[in-house]
Amino acid sequence: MTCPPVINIRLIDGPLPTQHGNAEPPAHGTGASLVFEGIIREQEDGRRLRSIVYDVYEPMATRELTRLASELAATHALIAVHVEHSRGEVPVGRCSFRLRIESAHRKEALSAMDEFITRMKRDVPIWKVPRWADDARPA
Amino acid sequence: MSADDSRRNSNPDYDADVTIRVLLFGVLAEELGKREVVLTLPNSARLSDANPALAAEFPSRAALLRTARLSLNAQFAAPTSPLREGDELAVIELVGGG
Repeated sequence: MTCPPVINIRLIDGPLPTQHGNAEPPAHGTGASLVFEGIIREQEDGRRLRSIVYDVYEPMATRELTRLASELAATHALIAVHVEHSRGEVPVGRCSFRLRIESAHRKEALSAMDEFITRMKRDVPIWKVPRWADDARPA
Repeated sequence: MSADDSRRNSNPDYDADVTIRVLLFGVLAEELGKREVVLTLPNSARLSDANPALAAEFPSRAALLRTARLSLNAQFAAPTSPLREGDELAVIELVGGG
C-alpha cells in the first residue's frame, strides 16, 4: 500500500530559524531530498534593501500552499513537501522561505521544486513590501 | 421613511443592495493608504462587478483594479460568482512570496 504524501506548511513570524541539525529525518522511501532556501538579497533593482516585509492573507495563504503542495505531490509522485514561509519583517541576509521536497528519485523532486516556486509566486496571497536602506519608515 | 424604505414598500420585488468588504495587501495597500474598503453594489452583483467599483474608488490604480484577480471569502472563485451581504473579497495582484 502506498503511503499518502507528507504535507507540512508553516508560516513563521520573522526570519526562519536555521535548519542545521533541526530537520526531521526523511520520510520512508525517500531517495532524494532537496532543500531550497530563499534569502533576502542586499539589493533590489539596484537599490539597497534593509529588509522585506511579508504581508500574508490568512487563512487563504496556508490553504493555497497546502493545495499546491498536495497537487504537486500527486502529479510528481512526491513523498513529502515541507514549506516554511516568513510573515512580517525579514532583514537582508536572512532566510524567508524554505522548501524541502522528498521523492524516491531526484528527477521528480527537481522538477517539482521549480514548479512549486513559480506557482507560489503567482497564486499564493503573500506580498513582498521592500524596506529600503535609505527609507526611515518603520516596518 | 427613507428612500430605500419607500422603494421597498412600493415594489415587492425590490432587493436591497449588498455591502461587501475588499481587502488590500502589500505595496498596493501602501500606495492607496488603505487595507480595506467597503463597497455597496446592487443585489444582483457578481464578483467581477467589484472590479469597476474598485477602479472608481481608486482612480490612481484604475487600470490594475479593472482587471485584478479577486478572491471571494478567502478562495479563488469564478468572476460570475454572486455576491452576498457581508462577503469578504481580496485583491490578489502583485503577489510574490519566496
